[in-house]
Amino acid sequence: MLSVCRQYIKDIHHAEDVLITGFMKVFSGLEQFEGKGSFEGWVRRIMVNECISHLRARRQMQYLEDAPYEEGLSDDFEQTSHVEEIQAAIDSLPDGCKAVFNLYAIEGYKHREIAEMLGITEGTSKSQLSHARQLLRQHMANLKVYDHETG
Amino acid sequence: MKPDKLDSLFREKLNARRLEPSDQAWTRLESQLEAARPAKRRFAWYVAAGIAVLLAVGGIWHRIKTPVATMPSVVNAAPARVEQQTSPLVVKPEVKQQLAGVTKKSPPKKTVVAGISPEQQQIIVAESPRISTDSAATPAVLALQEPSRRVRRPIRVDPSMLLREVDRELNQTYREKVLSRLNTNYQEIKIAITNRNLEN
Repeated sequence: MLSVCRQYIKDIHHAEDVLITGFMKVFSGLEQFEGKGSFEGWVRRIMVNECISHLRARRQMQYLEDAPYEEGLSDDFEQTSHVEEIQAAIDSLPDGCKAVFNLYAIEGYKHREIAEMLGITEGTSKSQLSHARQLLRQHMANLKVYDHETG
Repeated sequence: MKPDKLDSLFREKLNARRLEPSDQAWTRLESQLEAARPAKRRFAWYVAAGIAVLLAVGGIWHRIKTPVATMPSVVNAAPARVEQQTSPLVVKPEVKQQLAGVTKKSPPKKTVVAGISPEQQQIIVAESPRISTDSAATPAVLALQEPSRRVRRPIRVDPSMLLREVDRELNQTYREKVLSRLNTNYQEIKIAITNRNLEN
């Protein structure tokens, strides 16, 4: 679960803080768990919500200017990338952009749900996702180049 | 939309990752949980204590109530007899005083004495059978009272004393509880061993 928090929050100590408050909510709200779906999924949802409210409270949710919604950078990146590299790539994203990407790509929420959770429009959610993908691809491509140059 | 290669790679990698929270984080979580828990725990203790008190009071009530209910006749009869017995005892000294007064008055007026004395005598006579009957009855009364007293003894439970005892038991500290328990167990074992030795 710390891994989940870490995806949203760059600072590991802040991530731990969020984890603790998240767990406190899990314990206090145990009766509310209806047994629908997995327990882990429920805890994970609580953690994600906690991360988002943490970022919101710290006013870190700046969104990039609506970028043109385009796909099409090469998928030519290392499939064997280390998780540290991936985390570094995510860390390089602005928080709002990062949150949208995490919610969409990792958690599997729909754009409508993400828009509701973050208080943005569906369009913003979509553009932020494409923006994130673009930045991540760039980051990974740079890594690849760097690897080739050094290796 | 087709599943994005980048998305799936990131998802796989990140979901496979396991990050261990630091020891500090665990202790902080623990302390926060401890801080949150006592309220609930205290409430549970209050409930448990309340139930225990109710049970104790109910038990005492039951114990006091049952013997009184089964033997009301004995309890009611006993005081009546006591009254009967005491009344002649109270009368007796009065009669004696009267007699003393009469005898003192008697020397100056002998004629009156003759007139009064038979009355007094009559009174004495009238009095004496009552006393005699009472005195005759006393062994019977005593005989009746004797068993009644014996039966009454277990009934004579002082509720306040019992309550105090219960209070003391409730107020016992953990150490005292353990000690008293050990003591009773020790006594039981001791009795069991002596019994066995006697049997052998």
